[in-house]
Amino acid sequence: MTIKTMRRAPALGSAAVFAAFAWLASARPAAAQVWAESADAGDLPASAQIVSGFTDLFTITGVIGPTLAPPPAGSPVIPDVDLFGIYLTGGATFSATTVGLPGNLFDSQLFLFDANGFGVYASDDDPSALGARSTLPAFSLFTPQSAGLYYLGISAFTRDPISTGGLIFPETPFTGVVGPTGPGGAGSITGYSGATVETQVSYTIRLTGARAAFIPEPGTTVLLLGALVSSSGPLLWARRNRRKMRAANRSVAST
Amino acid sequence: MTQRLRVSFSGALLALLLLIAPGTVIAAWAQQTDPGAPGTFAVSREEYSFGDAAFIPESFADLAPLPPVTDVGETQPRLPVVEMTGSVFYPTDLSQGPFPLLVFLHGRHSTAYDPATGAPFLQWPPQAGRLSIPSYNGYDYVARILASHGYVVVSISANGINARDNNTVDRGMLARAELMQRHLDLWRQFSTTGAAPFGDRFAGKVDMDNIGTMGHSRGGEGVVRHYLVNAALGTPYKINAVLPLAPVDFNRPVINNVPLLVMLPYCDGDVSDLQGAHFFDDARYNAPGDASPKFVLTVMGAIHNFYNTFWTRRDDEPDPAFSFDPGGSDDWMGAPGTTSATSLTRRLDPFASTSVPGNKRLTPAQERGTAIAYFSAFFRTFIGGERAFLPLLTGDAPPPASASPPPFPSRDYLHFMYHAPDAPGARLDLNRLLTLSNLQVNTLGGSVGWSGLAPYDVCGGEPPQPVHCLVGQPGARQPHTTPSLNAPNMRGLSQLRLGWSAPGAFWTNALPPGARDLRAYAALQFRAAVNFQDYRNMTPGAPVEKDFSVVLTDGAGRSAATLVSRWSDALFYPPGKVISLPKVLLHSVRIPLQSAFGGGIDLSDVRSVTFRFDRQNQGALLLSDLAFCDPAPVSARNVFATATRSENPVSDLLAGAPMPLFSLRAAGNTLLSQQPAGAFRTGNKEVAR
Repeated sequence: MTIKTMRRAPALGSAAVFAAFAWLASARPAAAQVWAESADAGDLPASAQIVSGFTDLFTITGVIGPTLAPPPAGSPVIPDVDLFGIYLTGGATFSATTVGLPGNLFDSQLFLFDANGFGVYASDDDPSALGARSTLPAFSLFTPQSAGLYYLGISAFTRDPISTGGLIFPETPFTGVVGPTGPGGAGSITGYSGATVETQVSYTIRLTGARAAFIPEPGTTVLLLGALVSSSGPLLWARRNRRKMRAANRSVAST
Repeated sequence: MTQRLRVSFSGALLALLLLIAPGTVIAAWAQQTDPGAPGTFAVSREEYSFGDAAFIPESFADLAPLPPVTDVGETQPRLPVVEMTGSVFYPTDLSQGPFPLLVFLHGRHSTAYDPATGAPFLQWPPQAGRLSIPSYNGYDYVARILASHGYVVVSISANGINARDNNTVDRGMLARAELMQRHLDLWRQFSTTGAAPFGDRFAGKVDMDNIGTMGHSRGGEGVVRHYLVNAALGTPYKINAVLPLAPVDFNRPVINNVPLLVMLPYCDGDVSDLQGAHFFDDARYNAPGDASPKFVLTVMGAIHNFYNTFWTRRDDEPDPAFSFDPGGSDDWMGAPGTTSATSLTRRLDPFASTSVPGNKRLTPAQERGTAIAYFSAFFRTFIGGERAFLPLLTGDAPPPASASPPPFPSRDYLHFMYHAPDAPGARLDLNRLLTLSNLQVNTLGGSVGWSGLAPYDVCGGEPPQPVHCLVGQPGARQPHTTPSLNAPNMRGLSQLRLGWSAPGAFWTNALPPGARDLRAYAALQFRAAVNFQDYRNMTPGAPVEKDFSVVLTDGAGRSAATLVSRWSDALFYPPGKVISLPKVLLHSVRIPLQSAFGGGIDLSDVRSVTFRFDRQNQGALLLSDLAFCDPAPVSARNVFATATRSENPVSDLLAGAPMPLFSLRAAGNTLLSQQPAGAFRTGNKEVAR
């Protein structure tokens, strides 16, 4: 199995753009891929780290906490959350689980948001395992059927996503999977609440049914961005894939 | 009748006691297997007080007076005065005295309350209209039991210290020691010439050369500090046992040459980092030749406050005999109505929160039961000389009934650490795991080998070891390395940190020439904990308890193996999820040499001890203190061996006598009671007796 670390892409905002790039990526030969967080992935969709590359995405690694110098003494420590833009290949095949090694984040939490920042499902503790690792399972009631851009978030307990209405996902039960049934579940993510006791801890997330959301070839990227922004994007799309792309866009809008 | 031998387990006395004929001990065990059961003495109770402003501790002399409370008519500044008040439980019939003295010291709590509103205050003396909170009466439930076995049990009030201790650097620890010493001076007077208010009632009836102390919370460090102060004064009083209960350890004092039992409530919401574990860890190798055993008892599901009935609220314990509301709380859950983030988060914990269905918290009565059973076992062993209770303290014997009032909690609610005396035949350290060099050469000078282990390093001890073993986890989850207030840079327990990711991994220690004859030792012992942070312990399907094989190999190349799980449940995955839970606590695993290995190899020529990680494909552990031990300073095998054996326990060992009672834990949620010698299998556990 080939292990390749992909380069980090800048954060972008258009779901359609990401979906298009992801589709293009899907036409490439598959190979195992590891995405290593560099610097600090953002907390919100607008600042999320977009996973770029060409092929399937099997692993994400990163660090919860400041990755550079620690904050000055006396300054408030804002618990870190990492958010990654990824492309789900659909069919409810997506799954994510924290597995450590490398990694020492004990009490992880995983959240999945759609392209517009609305909660899809979340996991605090995996009921099949000891301890507090997290699993967003495939083929569950909540697993997205539709392909498209999504945001995968990871935090340390109890740093939880909120919308203007409050918690997007309920705090309890700890075990199993929950949908966006918290008081703020109807809204899109605006921030986080809650403290953590773990600091500067690393993690590894193992994934299925996911691909990179962005193709980081500079020349092509510029062309594609320009084309899409000028509404000429469809010219770049192969006709045989139009139906698939529309489906992806629908899923983004309706989730 | 209860035995009350005046003994201390040090020096030559230890050797002497090793030679005591075992028959009387067997008889004692048969007659009285539960140390917490009420004894034969009728008990009386008295109180004495010399006023709320009896003295100012020397260590408080520099404290500035507080302004008077003019609202209630006070005109004089408030000095840092301390009361001389206590209660005493004693055998009503003192004619059989002198009796040993036990002194209890409560911890820091609200000192006064408004009887109209119940509002608590930290003020001393209480201003007009307020009453004092009698924290010193909070241990009456256990004092009464001990008195019924022939002890004079004095519990002293320390509210005056609590009201001002945070104004001192040491948080009032020296003041607590001064207070205890003053009470001992008083009791010397009571027990000799006699004095008011008791007249000559106790004259000649209290043995001031056989004293045990117990301190709770800040009182826990207080009794440790008192032991040192008393020693510095030339040991005017003979302290033969020290029991810190849920103690703080702000200043990291270390005591040696006295039996020590530290009790740690796993769900402590006050001293939530269980820093009192340092008292045990720090003392282990601190004094060469220290012939006193040391113990830790971890009580899973227990909190800080339920050990004192005046810190327990009536919504937790409705019996007014065991509860009192002002200032009380369930320290894990927080005060009623609290909205603090910490309390709200704690109330989510699946193990410790009483709000979560299926939680494993003990009731106040169950907590008190552990105090009754193990205070009694400890003091009756080391003050009363009733050595039959020693297996309770090492964890070799199951909890007695007094420790387990119904509803009977999980079998796993008590775990033990034991450090055997540093005396010939009592302990042979194979690998103390104190330094980096111990990764390659053990304490005996033998080689250390390993394969398939990652990580394989030491942590938590002196530099260059990392301060903590679990990266990114708070100190409250790592009691052995949690920092102390006034000794923040003092290092903690050095631990071997290892993990394996495939079968076949092992760790082996060679015994060099001159150290291969193990017939004088009854047990192979080490301390271990599951590294809760390591995902190799969290994989789906991973068992709650880790397990591996311990293999001894002799000079002829023969090997004998046993599973850790047959003898111990120390390798449990620690429960809890929020704030200070779960915790890493390295409990003792004790394996009887003869029963586990003696049939397969020559114990007079053991060449290596190997931990073979062959039971699970992956895992991660923390280890320390690999040693061979007698099961106790006075061999526990004396108690349980057959009546036909030699009168000399040392000879018994050399002859391969029957092994002591060891962990009688059966599968499921039940504990086996004592059984005749032999071995059997129940469930999936082989049990030795």
